[in-house]
Amino acid sequence: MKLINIYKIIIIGFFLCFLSPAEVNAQPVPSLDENIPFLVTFGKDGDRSWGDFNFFQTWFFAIPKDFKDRFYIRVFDPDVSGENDEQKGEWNTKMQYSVYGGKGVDPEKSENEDSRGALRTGNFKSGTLLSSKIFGNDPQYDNKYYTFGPFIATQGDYNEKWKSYMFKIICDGISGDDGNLYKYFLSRDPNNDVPIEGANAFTYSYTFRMWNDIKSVSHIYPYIDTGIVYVLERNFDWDDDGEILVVSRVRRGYKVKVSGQNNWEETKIEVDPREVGSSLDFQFHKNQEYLVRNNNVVISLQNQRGDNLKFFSSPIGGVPVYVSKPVYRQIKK
Amino acid sequence: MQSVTTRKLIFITFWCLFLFSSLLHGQSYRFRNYSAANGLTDPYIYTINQDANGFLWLGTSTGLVKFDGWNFTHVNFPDSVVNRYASVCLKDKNGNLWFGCNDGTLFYTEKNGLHQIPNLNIQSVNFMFESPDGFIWIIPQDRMILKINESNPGEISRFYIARNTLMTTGSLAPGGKIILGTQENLLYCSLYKDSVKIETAIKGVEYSKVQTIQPLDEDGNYILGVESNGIYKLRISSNKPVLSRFPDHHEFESLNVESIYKDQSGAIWIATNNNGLLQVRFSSNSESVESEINYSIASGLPGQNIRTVFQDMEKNIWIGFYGEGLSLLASSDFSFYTPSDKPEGNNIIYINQLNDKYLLGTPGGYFIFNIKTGKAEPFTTLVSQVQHSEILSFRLEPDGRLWIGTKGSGLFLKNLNGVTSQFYRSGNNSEDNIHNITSDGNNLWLSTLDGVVILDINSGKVIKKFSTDNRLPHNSINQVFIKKDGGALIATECDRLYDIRLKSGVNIGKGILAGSTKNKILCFAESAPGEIWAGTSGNGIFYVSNDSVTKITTENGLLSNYCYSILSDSDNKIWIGHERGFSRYDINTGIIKVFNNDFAKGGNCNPHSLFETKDGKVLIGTTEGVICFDRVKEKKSVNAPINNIISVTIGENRYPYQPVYSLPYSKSYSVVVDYVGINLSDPEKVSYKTRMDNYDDNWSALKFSREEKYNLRDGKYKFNLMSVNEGGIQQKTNSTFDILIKKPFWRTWWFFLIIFTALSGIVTLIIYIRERSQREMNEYLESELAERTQVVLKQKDEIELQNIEITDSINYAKRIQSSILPDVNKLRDAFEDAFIIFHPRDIVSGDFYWFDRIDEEIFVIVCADSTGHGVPGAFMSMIGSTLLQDIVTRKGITRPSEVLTLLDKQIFSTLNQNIDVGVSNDGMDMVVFEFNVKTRQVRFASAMRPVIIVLGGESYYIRGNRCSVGGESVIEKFFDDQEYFLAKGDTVYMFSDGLPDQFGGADGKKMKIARLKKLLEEVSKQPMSEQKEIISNFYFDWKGDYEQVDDILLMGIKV
Repeated sequence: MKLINIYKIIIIGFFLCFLSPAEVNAQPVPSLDENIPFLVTFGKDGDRSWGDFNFFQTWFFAIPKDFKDRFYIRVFDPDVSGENDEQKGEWNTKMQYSVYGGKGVDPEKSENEDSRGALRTGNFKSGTLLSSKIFGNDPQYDNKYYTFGPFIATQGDYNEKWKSYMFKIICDGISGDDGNLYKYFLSRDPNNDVPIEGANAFTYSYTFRMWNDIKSVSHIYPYIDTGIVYVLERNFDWDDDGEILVVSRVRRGYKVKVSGQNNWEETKIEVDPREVGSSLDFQFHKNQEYLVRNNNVVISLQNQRGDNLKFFSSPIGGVPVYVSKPVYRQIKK
Repeated sequence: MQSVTTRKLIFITFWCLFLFSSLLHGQSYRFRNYSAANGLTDPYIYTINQDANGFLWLGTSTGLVKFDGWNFTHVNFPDSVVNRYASVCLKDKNGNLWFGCNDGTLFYTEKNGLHQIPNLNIQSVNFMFESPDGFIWIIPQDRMILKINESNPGEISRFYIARNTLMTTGSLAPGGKIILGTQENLLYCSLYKDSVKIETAIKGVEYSKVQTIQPLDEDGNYILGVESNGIYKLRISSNKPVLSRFPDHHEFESLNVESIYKDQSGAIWIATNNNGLLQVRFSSNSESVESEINYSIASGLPGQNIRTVFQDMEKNIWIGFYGEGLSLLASSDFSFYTPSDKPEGNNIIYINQLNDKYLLGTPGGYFIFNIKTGKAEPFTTLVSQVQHSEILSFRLEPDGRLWIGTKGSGLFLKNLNGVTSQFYRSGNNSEDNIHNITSDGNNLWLSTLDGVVILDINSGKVIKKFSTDNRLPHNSINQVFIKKDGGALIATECDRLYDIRLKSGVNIGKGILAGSTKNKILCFAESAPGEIWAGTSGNGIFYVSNDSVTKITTENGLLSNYCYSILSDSDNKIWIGHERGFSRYDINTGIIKVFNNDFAKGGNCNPHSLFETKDGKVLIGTTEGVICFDRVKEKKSVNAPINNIISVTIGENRYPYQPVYSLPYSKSYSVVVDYVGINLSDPEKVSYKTRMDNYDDNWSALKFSREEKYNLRDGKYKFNLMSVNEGGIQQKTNSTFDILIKKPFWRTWWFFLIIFTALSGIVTLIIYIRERSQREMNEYLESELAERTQVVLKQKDEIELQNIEITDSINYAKRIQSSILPDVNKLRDAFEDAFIIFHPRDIVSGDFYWFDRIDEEIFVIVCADSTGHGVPGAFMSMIGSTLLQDIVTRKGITRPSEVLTLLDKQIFSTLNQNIDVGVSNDGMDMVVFEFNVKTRQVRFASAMRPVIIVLGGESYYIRGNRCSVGGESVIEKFFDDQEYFLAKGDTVYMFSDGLPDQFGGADGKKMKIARLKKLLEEVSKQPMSEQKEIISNFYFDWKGDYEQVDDILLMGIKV
C-alpha cells in the first residue's frame, strides 16, 4: 500500500514537472519576471510618505476578442489585515476593488485619458461597473484568493488596434490608512490560475512593494515603441533605498535619479535607436549597506510627448508589438 | 470577537459544504437545457422575458435572441451596433418589452418593432422597474435616475444624484421613496424636483455591492441580493428602513447573488454566481422561510453560474446561465433521487412505504428513504444474509416483515427483530429463482423460473405449485398478480389471461392477447375490479375487460412496446415503465403522455418497481435511482398555444410576418408559410390546422408540420392558422394574413376603362379628324367647287356660247342640209303617195335622201346612211348628195349599180386627196332606186342597206350587196341591180339602220329588222300619211326615254 502511494507521488511530481510555468503560475500581476513581491495600495487616510501618492491603483487587462470562454480576475490577499499587509495602528482600512468594462475603459482612446488612473481627479472610474467588492479586516481572505467574475470578453471596451477587449480593475483605498499588499491573477478558472493566451495586463502607474531582502532585484520592462525619442522616468518615495539602473541591449546600468522620502524624482533617458522595438530593463537594487524594510515605490514613465507609457506586466506570448501611428493631439492652451 | 466570526464562518462553510455535497448525491429535477446544440449559439444569458406573442426574449452577450420553443433567432438592434448586449429587460403593463443595454441605450418593442429611446446619455442601464402609474424607472450606473412615460417614451424625467454614486439596482418604497442599491451600500432616498436626495444609507450592507432588490409585497418588505454576501430582508415601516438577516438560514449569507425573481406563486428564486439556484418560499408576513430548494448541477442544471430567472405565461421557470445557455424547469412535478453515492447502490428494484418513509430495495440490500428530505438512511446490506445471492425481489408486509427473493437461493424473511433467515428453498435452482413475491394475506405467491409456488405465509409449507404440468402455458413466471376478486393472474408467455384460484385451479381467459411478436406478459395492474392491464415485452399493453381486449402500443403513443412495470394509480392513470423512460395513460381521456428519463441519468425502469404513495406520489425505481412524480405539482396543459406566423417566403424571398402581402401580377407564386404555435412547455405536442381562403375549401387536418406551401395565382387569399395543444386547447381567434396578387393589368377594370376610353377617344378622334378633314375637304371642295364652278360656269358660258354658236352653226348647216334635201312633194307628185320619216340625231344628219325625176319616166331615189352622224355625217351626206347630183343629173347615169359604183369611186377619190392626213375609211350605205313611173318597173342596187318591198300586200325583205360606198378601197366591190315590176299600190320602203338599231321597248332592246318588217307589213295597207304617223308613233313609243342612237331615215313610196 505504501509502495503504491510512493508511486502516486512520483507520478504526480513527474506530471507537475512537465507543466509549463505559465500553467502553474498563470498570469500574475506583478509577473514572475518582474520579481516584485506585491502591489501596494494604502487607505486614503494614509501618508504619502509611506509610498503611495494617490491611494489607488489601476490595472488594465486586454482579453483577445477570439477568447470566447469565461475568465476571472483573482485577487490574492485582497483584505487589509493579517499577513503581508502593512498595518498602521489598528486595522481600519477598507479596500474597494472594482472591475470595469464597457465604453470608457480603453485608455488608448483619447476621450478616456482619465481612465489611465494617474490621478484621482477626473473620471478615473470610467466604464461600466461589472463587479465590486470591499475588503477590510477580513481574515477569511487573508493570504487567500478572492475571485471576481466570471466575465466574458464582450463585456469589455473593444480596442481595434489590439483586437482585444479592455477591462480594468481599480483597487481603491476608500478609508483607513493601512497598506494593502496584493496580487492579481488573470485566469480562465475561478479556482485555479489558468492563463489566457494572448491576454495582457498593463498599468500606467506602478505602485509596488520592494523586497525586504537586500539581494533581491526587482525589474520592470517598459516597452520602447517606434517614435519614442526619450523616456522621462519618474519615481516616488524611493527612500534612497539603493539605486535604479536602466539596462538595455545598448546600455549597461544607466543610473536614474532616485527619490527620497515623499518626493518625486525624474530622469530623462534618451532612447538609442537600437533600443526601439525592445524593452528597457529598469532594475531596482536594494541598498546593500542596510536593509530598508517595507519600501513602497511608485514608478511612471512618459515619452517626449508627455504620454504615459504602459508597463506590460503579464503578457502571454510577449509584449505586443504593433506599428504605431502618429498621434496628433491638440495643444491645450 | 474574531474567534466568533471565525467559528461562524467555519460553521457556514461546513453547512454549505454539507448542504451541497448532500444534494450532490440527492435530488435532481426535470430540466430541459438549451445550448449550442439546440441552436442557442451564445451561452451567456443576461436577461429573459416574454412578449405578448409568446416569444421568449433573451439578452445574450452578442445581442437579442428570440425563442419560439423550436428556434433561436437573433434580433438585430435598429442601429445594428455590435458589442451591445441587453443586460436588463422589463415587460410593461402594455405588454411591451424594454431592454436596457450595457452601453446605456434603451429599447422597447412596439408593433413588432424595436425602437430606441434616443439621447439618454448614461453609462449603462443596470436595472429597471415599473411604477403603478405607468412609468419605467431606469437605474443607470451613475449621475441620475430616469423616469420614462411608457405611453409616451419621449417623456423623460431625470433625477440627478451625487457624483461618485455607482448605482446597481433600485426599487420603489412606500411613501414615494426610492431605494437604491449601490456599489458599496443601500440608500434610502427621496425625489426632490430634479434630484435624488439621499436620506440615509441603510445600515447593514456597508461596503457591499447590492445586486438586486425584490419587493415581496406592498407592505414594505423586500429581499436584497448582495454580491458575495447573500440575501437580506428589508422592512420599511413608518419611513424607517430596517435591514436584517434570516437567523435560521446562515446558508443565505454567503451566496454570491446575481438576481432575485418572484414568480406568480410568490416563490422567490435567487440566482447566484457559482451557487446555483435557490427557490425560497417565505411566510405570509415575509418573516420566516417556509421552504427552500436548491437547484444545482447535481439537480440537473448544466452549470452553477446563473444570471437570471424568469417565469413565462405557462408558468415555466427559465434559467439563464452565464456560460451554459438556458434551462427550462417545465415543472417540478418530477424529481429524481439517488440514495447512494455508488452507482450500483442506486439500482432500485423494489419500492414500498414503511411508516412515513420508503424502503428502496436493491440487488444487495435496501435503503430507508425519506422523500421529504431527499435523504436515505445508511444502506442495509443483505448480501451475507442471503448467501451472497443476488436479490431479485422483495415484499414488505404492512407489519414490517420483509420477504427477500433471490436468484437461486430461494426465499428469505427478515423478521421484525431484524433477523434474516431462509424461509423457503426447494433445492431446484429454477424454482429458487424468485422473480416476484406477492401475497393474498394467507399465502405467499412466488413467481419463479419453474412456475408458481404458493406457500403458507406463516409456516412456509408449500400449498400448491402451478406449472406447465397443470395447464400453465409457461414455467417462467414474471409476476403473480392478486386481483381484487382474489384470483391470481400469471404473467408469463401466453396469449390469454391465466387466472389461478386455489380451489378451481387454472382458468384461461377467452380474450386473445395478440401482438406483432410472441406475447410475453411481464406485469399486471388492475384499475377497477375486472379491469386488467397487462404489460408485455414487445406488444405494448393490453386492456382486458370481460374478455374484450384492447391493445395499446407505440402507434397509440406509448414510448415503447416493452413494458417492464405497470401501475394503476388512484388518479385513474396507468403508469408503464420502459427501458428509457415511462408512459402514462389517462383512462378517462385516453391521452398518453410519455416521459424520457434523461433528467434521471437515463436509467432503465426496473420490473415491478412502480409504487404509489398514500399521498398520491408515484415512485419509479430505475437502475440509476428513484423518480418521484408529485401530481400536486403537475401543471395542467391549460395554456392554448399562441399562434404565430413567423415568415412568409414568396418565391426566393423570405419576409417577416405582416398583415398583408401585396404582390404584382405573376402567372404563379410559390408561397411557403412558416408558423409556430408557441407552447414553451411542450412545443413538440402542438399540432396545427391551416386554411387558405380562396384556395382551400376547408381547414386542414391537424398536423405537426410548421410549414405550409402553396402555389397561388392572381387573386385575394387569406391564410388562417390555428394551433392546438395536446389537450385540444386552442386560442379563440386565428392568426391570419392576406395575400393580394394583382390581376394582370389587362384584366383590371381600370384597364377596361382605359381601353374603352382610349377606343372611344380614338373613335372620337378619328371621327373628329375625319369630320375635320371632311369639313376641310368640303371647304376645300366647296372652294374648289366654287372655283371650278366659276371656271365651269365660265366654261359653261363659253361652251353654251360655243354651243349656241355651234348649234346655230349646225342649225344653219341643217338648213343648208335641209335645203339640199329634195322636197317630199316631188315624190308625191311622181308616185301614188309617199312619206319620209327623217329624224337627225344631232340636228344635222348623216342619213340623207336624194331623188329626182330624170325624165318623164325615170325617177331616181336614193336613201343613204353615211358613216357617223351629226356634223361629220352631214358632211358625208353633203358629199353624197353632191356626188349623186353630179352622177345622176349631170352625167345622166341612172342605172343604180352604176350609180353606186361611180359614187364609190368618187367618194374614195374625194376623201383621199390629201394623203398626209391618212386614208379615209368614211363612206356610206345606201340604196339607189330607179323607178320607171310609167311602167312601174323598178331597178335598184343596194350598198349594205336592205329594202322592204310590199308586193300585193306581201312584204319582201331584200338584202343589198355586202359592201358600202366609199370606205375601205381594198375590197373589190360589186353592186348588182335587182329589178321588179310593181303593181299599183305596191309599196317600197327604204331606211337607214337608225330605226332598227334604236334601243327601247320594255327591255331596252334594239328594235331590229324583224320588228320593223312586221310593223311595215301591218301598216303597208294604210295610207302613207297614216303609215308615217303610225311608224313615227311606234318609234317614239319604242324609244321612250332612251336616247336616239343614230339618225333615223325611213322612206315609204307607194306606186
